[in-house]
Amino acid sequence: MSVDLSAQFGRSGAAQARELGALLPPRPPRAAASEQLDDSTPAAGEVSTEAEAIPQASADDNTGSPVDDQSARRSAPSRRLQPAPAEVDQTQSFQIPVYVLPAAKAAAQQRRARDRVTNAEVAFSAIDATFPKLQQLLQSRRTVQRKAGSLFPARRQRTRGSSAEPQSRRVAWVLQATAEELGVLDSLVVELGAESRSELIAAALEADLLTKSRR
Amino acid sequence: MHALAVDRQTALARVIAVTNDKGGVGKTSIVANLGGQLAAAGYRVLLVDLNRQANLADDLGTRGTSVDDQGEGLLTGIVLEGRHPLPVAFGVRPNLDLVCGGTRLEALTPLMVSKTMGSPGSSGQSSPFLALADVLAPVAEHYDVILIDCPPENFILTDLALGAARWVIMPTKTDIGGLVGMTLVAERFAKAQQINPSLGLLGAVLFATGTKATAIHAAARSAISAAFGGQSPLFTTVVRHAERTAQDARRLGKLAHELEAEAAQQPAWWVTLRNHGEPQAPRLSATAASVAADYRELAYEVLNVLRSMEQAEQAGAALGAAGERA
Repeated sequence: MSVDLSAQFGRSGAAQARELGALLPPRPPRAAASEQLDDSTPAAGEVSTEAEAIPQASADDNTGSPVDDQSARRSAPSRRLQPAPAEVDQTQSFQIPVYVLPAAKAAAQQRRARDRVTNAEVAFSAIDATFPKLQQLLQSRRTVQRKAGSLFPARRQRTRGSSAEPQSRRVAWVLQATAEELGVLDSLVVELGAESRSELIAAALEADLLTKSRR
Repeated sequence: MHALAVDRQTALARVIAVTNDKGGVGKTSIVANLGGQLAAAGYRVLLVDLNRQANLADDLGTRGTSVDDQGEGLLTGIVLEGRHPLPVAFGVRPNLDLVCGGTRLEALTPLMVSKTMGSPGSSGQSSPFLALADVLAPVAEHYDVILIDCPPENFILTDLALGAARWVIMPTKTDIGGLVGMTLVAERFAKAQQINPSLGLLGAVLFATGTKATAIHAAARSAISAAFGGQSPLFTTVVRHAERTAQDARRLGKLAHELEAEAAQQPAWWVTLRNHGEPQAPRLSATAASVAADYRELAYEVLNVLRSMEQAEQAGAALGAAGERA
């Protein structure tokens, strides 16, 4: 279509507001963890291979139990993730659906209203707060622990979906993230062996908002 | 500017017309759900239905109820040029009021044609297309936001809405039809600015599109951005396609967030089956939660853009006043 609609409409509020970024709620600072991930973050535009994507737990890290080859391979992301290229417009934001427990969603909504922050800020704060134990949280989400002393190993958590009781069905909660924030999230997904951005954020959010007293 | 025009402009500063000349792009659903979200957040909201079909009444569950006047009140208000208070259906939801549309609005088009013929517009008289603005201005002070649901393919009623609105939101789908509809609105927009100079485009929103159709989204965003000279008017929020939820909403007269709440409360399907045999009524789709989340995000984004624009206007006005003093 060759018509320039901006001649009739002028610049839209949405387009102008993107340039008035200072007036919008500020985004949280880049996750503190991201600086530690720089070495393992693939270059822009480069698809990470599975081998590159699975970091081996070092003796001096405090992220929980060591990850052996097999479990690391099991916890590798199911699809290859590509961090957003640096040349993407950083003022543009992208929608990330996250599936969380209804109680976590309600708590996040309360937090958002109480602190007058965005969903993204709630999520990023939760990741910052839970980062040291996030890998452990992710692993514990996926397994059903057996009784102490059982001869058998823990089994993988069964996905119950719509057959679960209403309070344990995960529901959609959406946040907007910039390309740079997406890059950090994708790095964390790869680093911590989450299956998706949704799983990563949900693990942090549920741990942060549902397991401690309100701040 | 005339004092009356200034008063009208001030009163209608938060009136948003939701329009696209193409039908089926989500105008009514967005008006209903955006209004519902804002009302649920505590804002006082008025919805105005300019549609003969009055599907807003289906979305809100008011069709055939005592408040459904089929547009009679709105028609009367415009015929009497604001001398009669606009009949508003109060409390269709907490904080949410409605001016009904319906078949009586059929008379509005010929009425406006006759008014246009009798008003050359150069005699100092107010334009006939400010009629809705004049009717809304007295009630506007009671509301934080007023949303007008515009009909498709009716430029006369669209002109009425654009004469009353401060802002325009244009829903569109990813196909070329939505863009053609925007082009047709552009013609009316330029015309409306002659009588309503403060009219501005707040943004556009992609509606009823698949969440995984990222390549299609990117192509649509790119086409719309190109059509707007590289300054994309699109909100980042996309309202997803969910046919079952759309049908549930109209069938039950519930908004997406209301369906979300009900769907979350319904027992697991196997509990119903075990206790009662086959379910008595169709189950609500859990997708309502995702659709409600889309509308919630859209409402949040619209409020942010609105706030940014108002703050920029206030800053501009303060600078102008300081310049005049200097």
